[in-house]
Amino acid sequence: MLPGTEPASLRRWQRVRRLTAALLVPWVCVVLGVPWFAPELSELHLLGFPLGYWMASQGALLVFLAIVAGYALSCDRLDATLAEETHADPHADPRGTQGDGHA
Amino acid sequence: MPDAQVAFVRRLHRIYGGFALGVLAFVVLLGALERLGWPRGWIGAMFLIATILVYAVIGLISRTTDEVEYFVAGRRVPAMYNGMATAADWMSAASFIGTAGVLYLQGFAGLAYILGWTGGYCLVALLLAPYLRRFGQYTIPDFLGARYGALARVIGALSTVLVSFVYLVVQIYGVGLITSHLTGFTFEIGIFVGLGGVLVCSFLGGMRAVTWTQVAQYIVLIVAYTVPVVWLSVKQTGNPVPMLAYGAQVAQVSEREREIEADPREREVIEVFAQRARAANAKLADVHASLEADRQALMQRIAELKAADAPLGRIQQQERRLRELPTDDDSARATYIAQRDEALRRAQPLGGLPPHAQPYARPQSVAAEEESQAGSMQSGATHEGNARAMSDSARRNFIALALCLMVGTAAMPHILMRSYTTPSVSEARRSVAWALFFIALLYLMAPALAVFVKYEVLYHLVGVPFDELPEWIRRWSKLSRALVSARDVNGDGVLQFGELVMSGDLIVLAAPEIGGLPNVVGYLVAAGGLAAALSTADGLLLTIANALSHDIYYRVLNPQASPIRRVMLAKVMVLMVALGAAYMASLHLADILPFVAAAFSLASAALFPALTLGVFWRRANALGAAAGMLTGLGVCLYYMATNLPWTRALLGLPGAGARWFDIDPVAAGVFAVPAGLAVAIVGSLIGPSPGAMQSALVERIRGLSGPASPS
Repeated sequence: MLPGTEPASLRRWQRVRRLTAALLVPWVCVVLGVPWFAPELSELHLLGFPLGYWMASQGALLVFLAIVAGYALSCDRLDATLAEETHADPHADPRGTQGDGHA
Repeated sequence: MPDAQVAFVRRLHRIYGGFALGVLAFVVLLGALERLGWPRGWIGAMFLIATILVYAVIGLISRTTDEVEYFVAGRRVPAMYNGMATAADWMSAASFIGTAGVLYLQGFAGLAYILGWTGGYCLVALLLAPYLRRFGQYTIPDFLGARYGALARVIGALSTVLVSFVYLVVQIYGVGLITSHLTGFTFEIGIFVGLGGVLVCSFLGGMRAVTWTQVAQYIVLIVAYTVPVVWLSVKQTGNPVPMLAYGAQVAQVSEREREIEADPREREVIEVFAQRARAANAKLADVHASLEADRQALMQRIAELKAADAPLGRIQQQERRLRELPTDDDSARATYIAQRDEALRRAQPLGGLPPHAQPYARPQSVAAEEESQAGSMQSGATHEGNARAMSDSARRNFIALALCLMVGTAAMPHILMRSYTTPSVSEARRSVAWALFFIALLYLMAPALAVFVKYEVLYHLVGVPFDELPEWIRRWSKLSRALVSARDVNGDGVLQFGELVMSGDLIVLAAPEIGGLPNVVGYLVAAGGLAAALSTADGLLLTIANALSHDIYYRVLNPQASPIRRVMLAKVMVLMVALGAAYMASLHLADILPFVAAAFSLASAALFPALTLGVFWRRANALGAAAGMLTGLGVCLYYMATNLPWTRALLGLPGAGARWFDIDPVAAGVFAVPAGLAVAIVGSLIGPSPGAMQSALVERIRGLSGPASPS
């Protein structure tokens, strides 16, 4: 198969995989980086908190939330654009989600 | 979204919006009744009865015998509500009661739980939830069975039962603790009353009833957590947003901790404990003679008291101590060692607690201090080296524990199962985001609560004369001496920080009393803790019962069973598992949190590699999955069994275990997951390629071919 001619569902899967990998990078950075550098970060202060303490108790949670929400929104947007692209072909099931709403 | 679904969501908004207002009105009403002089027992009972009644009514309305309704709530729970139900499922007695307590006791180290219990949702969202939803069956072993065959299903089902049962026992324990606090029943009766509350939901309506009850339980528990935290925040800082406000309190707490470390009277307390430790150590030199000496001393004391015609109570107290003396040398040795370790722990600055905001701090023990004062330059240097090694080990353990909890989150069957209950794949993804939002709401407040309570204790309790101690200390220590005790160790008539021992379980439950809030808030918190424990217990109970009835009985033993029979059997299983767990809980376990962490390690080791490889690696096959799961479980169980003191005792192993990289046994998953993953990969490469059916399944869950759902 020539590049660019794969079915929309395959292109979608490749993009989802890339998105997943891209979002796991900040996750790993926070999970390992915040605890590891907490003593050094705690020399700085934010809102009265030592920064290391703040990152572990609040900052990291906000990053996690951004990752999960970002993933849900990006996937929805991806599905919407792919649905538009393949609109002309009624046999394609670009989202691979046929029947999802009525299972 | 179809119109019917839109109307359904609107109806849910109305119902649960009304319910949330009702909860607030109920609290205000009881607050007013308290002012009018209602006795506290009545208010506590009202909270217990009213909340359990609401859950029971929802459970009854949602009763069902339909299979899809019973196992996956009809697959029509909208994302936001599924998120709320997941959050309630998730936040257990340990989260609600335990987390702030651990943060109070361990300071920074406790944040590993906060990180671990939220960060795992990234893995759930990115690696599993959408794929499980597209797979669209009933249980997690269902996925393993379809992807890898019957053996993987059975191992998966048995691991599910093992993990969830450990976790369930902890929940029921929490239910018993709170019920006995609310009503004054004994702990054992409390367990069985609470058990009724669990069963009315899950027994009749399965997942459907549990889901809609859990939404209500989430509302109760978040209101119950928010009210005291915001109240304390306003009271201490004037700022109603605790997350922003407690930065200032962290600084104040740290400052006061430094004052207390330097306080000469605190040093007296430390010296008393150091002496006790030395005394216990001396007794260990000749256990037999020391035991005999202790006995003689007590008998003489009793004789003296009798001769002096002392009050009967004091004589009986001494007689009880005499009866409780160890009977043989071995148990005497154990007692002396425990006494010495306890005294050593308390012979430290701040009663052995680390400075609150400092990462990986280890308070210096007095013994080490004396050594370094007496020793030469060289021993001073090694002492510093030891301190650095300890702080490095604390950092490693922090990361290991957080990782285990995260990977364990992404392998907890009762959480993953919730991906099946949403109407679509897109809603499954959004539901994880909602779940994390609702969970983070509580976990952002837990560290604040811990700091507010510590502030109250440090500034308003330490330094109070013993005869003016607040009422809550006496009341809670009467319930159990392990919860709180305050003894005038140095005999100056004033409470020092080192003289106060508070259990982690107490911090949240007693926070309103410690902060001087009305009783009604204390009972609201207890009702919230009950909601947290019940909701998690319900979810776990269903997971276990479904693994047994659906995966083991129906899929393996009797594939001809009719749907009605399957649902019937699932209900019977719910009942039996609940009774078994209640029995285990009534045996009184140690502190709540280590058991929970152990369950997470087990879940991560047993299930995570097989599940993720099943989605992301086409080549993964039956041999690899089964070998990987067994290896993961084996490594995890081996490391725990050879390193936990009580399992060592059970197995008759002498001495302490050999730890790898000094990692705590509850974080065994940090070794077991990579081991399981490696074996799964090697096994898959050795075994044959997956067949056509498995390949088609992988295509389907990745969205490469429709239809999305088999039903």
